[in-house]
Amino acid sequence: MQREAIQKILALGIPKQRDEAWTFFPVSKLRLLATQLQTLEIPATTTPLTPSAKTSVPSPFSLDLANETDIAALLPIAFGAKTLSKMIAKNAVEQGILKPRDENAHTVFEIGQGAKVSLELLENISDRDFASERLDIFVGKDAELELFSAEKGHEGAIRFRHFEIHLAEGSTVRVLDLNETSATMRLSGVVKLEGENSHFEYRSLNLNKGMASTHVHLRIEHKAPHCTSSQFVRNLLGDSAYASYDGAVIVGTHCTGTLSSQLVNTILISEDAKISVKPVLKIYHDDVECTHGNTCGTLDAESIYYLQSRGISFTDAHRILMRAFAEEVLLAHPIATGRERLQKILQESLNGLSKN
Amino acid sequence: MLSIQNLKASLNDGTQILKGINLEVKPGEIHAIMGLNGSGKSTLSKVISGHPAYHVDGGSVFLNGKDLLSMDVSARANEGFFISMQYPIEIPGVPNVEFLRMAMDSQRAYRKEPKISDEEFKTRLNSSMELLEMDERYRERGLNDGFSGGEKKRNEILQMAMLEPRISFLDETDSGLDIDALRIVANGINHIMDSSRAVILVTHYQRLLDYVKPHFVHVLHRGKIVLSGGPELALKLEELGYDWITEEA
Ligand SMILES: Nc1ncnc2c1ncn2[C@@H]1O[C@H](COP(=O)(O)OP(=O)(O)O)[C@@H](O)[C@H]1O
Ligand SMILES: [Mg+2]
Repeated sequence: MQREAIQKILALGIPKQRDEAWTFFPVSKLRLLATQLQTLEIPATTTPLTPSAKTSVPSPFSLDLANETDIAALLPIAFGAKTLSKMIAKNAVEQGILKPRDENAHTVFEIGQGAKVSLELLENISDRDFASERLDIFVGKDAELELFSAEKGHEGAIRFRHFEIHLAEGSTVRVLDLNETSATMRLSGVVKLEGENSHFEYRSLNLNKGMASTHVHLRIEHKAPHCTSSQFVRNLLGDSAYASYDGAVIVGTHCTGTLSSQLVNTILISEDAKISVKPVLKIYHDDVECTHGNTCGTLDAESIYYLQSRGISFTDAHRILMRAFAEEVLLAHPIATGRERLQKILQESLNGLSKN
Repeated sequence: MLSIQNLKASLNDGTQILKGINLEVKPGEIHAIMGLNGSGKSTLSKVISGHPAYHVDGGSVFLNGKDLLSMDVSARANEGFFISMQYPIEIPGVPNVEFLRMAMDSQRAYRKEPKISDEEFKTRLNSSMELLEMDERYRERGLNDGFSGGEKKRNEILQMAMLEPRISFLDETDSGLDIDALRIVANGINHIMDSSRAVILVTHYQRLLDYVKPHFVHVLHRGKIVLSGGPELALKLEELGYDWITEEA
């Protein structure tokens, strides 16, 4: 499988700037990737990709190499990630953490019908510069999943995270993501709202500093009636940081009663920071309500003046406003576990953001 | 206490707004500044407080002997200058109570005093909220977030009550208040005022001055104080309007 993944990546080609899905990514950082893959030593016995079922529920998972178009989905496999699979029983209520065992990791999650799961994805703390991760998640009927993570990538690191989420009828997935980073990161995801009345919420807060370069490439596919999806993203960009957000919502022909929203707000704290936003809507049905908004600015000068006019210092006024801006993303996340954990991390993070 | 001499200021594009303001305010005094829309009343308050949209072209502003114009916005506030804005802005996501506490602690830090204790803060907040008859929900809300015009003005005076400034410049605090709210706010101002403090009121209406009685009334016209008098001047303006002054000026 590893060999096939390598072949597939080489066949797809190393991404170029002109590739639509990689327009914003600093592709020059992938220059050596082809050589690296070609010279990899592949161990003789590779782990079978289809995970051995640990419960009586058969795994629906199999990797569709032939139709894959995003190399980010293949990277962990190509670099020899061992597939870890986990099942959560029907109606179980569980809280867990997922820690990547290696710099390249692949996890398959199956969440049983009616289960309520909160999962924290721990950062890949390998000090290797390159790390990639893939998650395949199957959410059973009426199940609820909260998925949250906080990342602090260091300058020079390149991180890929790819997830594919399948939602069955009546299920809900809420993702909450906090990045405080100076690294180069790409988060890609394909979300398939396959069952009627399924819901996907994505909230992300990016506090980029230094030479950070973070890129989100999300595809949300509405494949059944009465599904909702929302994306709420806020970026606070300092120093020479860059962020891009490419979020697509694709609504199929029979998806009556679709609701979808996308909101991306960015504050540039430094004059050298940059943002690119590309909303994409592909709608093949009439009874659909899709909204999207995108704002970009600096911290409001009148607000800073107001706070200062009450004796609060310029620096504190900045910090207060940044926190208020950032916190709204976390506050919008309705599950306390992830929200409270990330609020704590946010407090500490804001002190490190600087104005340059 | 507050001494303004020949203060001239312009917009950052060069448009002159204040064309030489002179004003002396002593402890215990209440001054009213009146004048047509656009005459420069709000600009005066913002220039004294250090708003970045204005450039000082000349003159001086001293508060208790200290040169305000050389300080940044927060230092001016911490020296005891308070401005109640004509249009207070909303800052969602910053809770009122947290904001008040930060403001008080900033002032204390400036004076090298320790932070306010939970107990003292609570007592002060409770009594100020009572004074201004604030709704209990105030505690949970964001700074002016979704407040009505009147609620915002009340919140300005609540901040004044908490910060106990030496001198307060209240810019049309009465505008947008219904009769009950006007009485509450005026009562609040009178409560905070004492012989060691001073107030400058900007207003268009005698009804506020019936509650908060000024010792001096000034008329600002095209960036200059063109007439000063006692409380009777406000009554005369209420009756005759500004024509008789602006024609002369
Ligand atoms: N920030 C600003 N930008 C543009 N024009 C301003 C600004 N501030 C004041 N002005 C102009 O200066 C003049 C005086 O305004 P202001 O001080 O608000 O008057 P008042 O408070 O007496 O009604 C007006 O002509 C107003 O349009
Ligand atoms: Mg005004």
